[in-house]
Amino acid sequence: MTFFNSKISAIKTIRALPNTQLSSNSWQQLSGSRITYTPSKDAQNVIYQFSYGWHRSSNDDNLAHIKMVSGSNENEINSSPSDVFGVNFNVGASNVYSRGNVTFKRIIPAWQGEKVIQLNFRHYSNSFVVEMHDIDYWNGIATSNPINCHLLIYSTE
Amino acid sequence: MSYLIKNDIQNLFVSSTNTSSQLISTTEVTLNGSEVYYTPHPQSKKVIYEYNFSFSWYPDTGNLLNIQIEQESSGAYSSLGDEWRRIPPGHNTSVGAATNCSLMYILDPWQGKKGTRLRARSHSSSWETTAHITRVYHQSVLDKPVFPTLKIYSIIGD
Repeated sequence: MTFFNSKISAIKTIRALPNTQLSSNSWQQLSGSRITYTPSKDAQNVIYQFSYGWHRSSNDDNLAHIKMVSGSNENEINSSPSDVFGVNFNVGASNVYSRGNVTFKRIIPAWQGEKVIQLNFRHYSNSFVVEMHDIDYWNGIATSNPINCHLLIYSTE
Repeated sequence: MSYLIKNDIQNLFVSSTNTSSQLISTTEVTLNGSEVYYTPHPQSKKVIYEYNFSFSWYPDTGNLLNIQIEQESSGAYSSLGDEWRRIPPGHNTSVGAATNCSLMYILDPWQGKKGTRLRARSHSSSWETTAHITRVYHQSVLDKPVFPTLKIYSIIGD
């Protein structure tokens, strides 16, 4: 019989209220998803968990491509971000109900020292625009209501 | 005597609620299994609240929910504010339309025991849904239960 007794450490949280963001044909940082993080000394993995809201823009159709990127510092992740292997996903829908909340959780191998990681996003094409960090329908009326996002990260040994 | 806390997570509480189905209409209701009376660890910097539930297309083929988180003070609940609002993934087809939704909130800690819950309603009377069931299963109409789960814990680190 095998027992696992992982220890959780080096927990960090960020709750942010970003400006709303429209997708484009270019990759851009998903606001609120960036964190500068050093895994604990004996970490095997890092758990990254991010929760945010989105909705359709001018068209019912929408499709966002989202990936995790890293850099050794903020200048590097701004100018030449490195894709984190295996951390890609799509979010989209194709009707008037197209909106939702994503709570994204990934396990990534730990690293030595400090790194900056974040999620970048773009849309599939200009007919599939997505708006992030906003609610457009509430209690029966159309509205524009910026919403907060939540980031949790920790090391497991 | 002094104690050294080695684990960054404290006061963990989890639950899976055996609940019947719940019609979500334009009248706001508390989502079954979302309410918890919780005391954060005295040294906590944040409290993490995580809730997972499912909902299905019945009675309307198009569904859109509004969810807000509330906390209790002196026995009265109130919303944490407009920026805490959430909309689970909406959908628009009969039979196949079913969604599982995970919500996560980073809360500021509080002193003593306090209630936290999620309130939900449909966006309109034609966009209603039923929570905590499958509605269809194995090519027939079958309300298989989907228990909502709740996890809440205190963070001692940043």
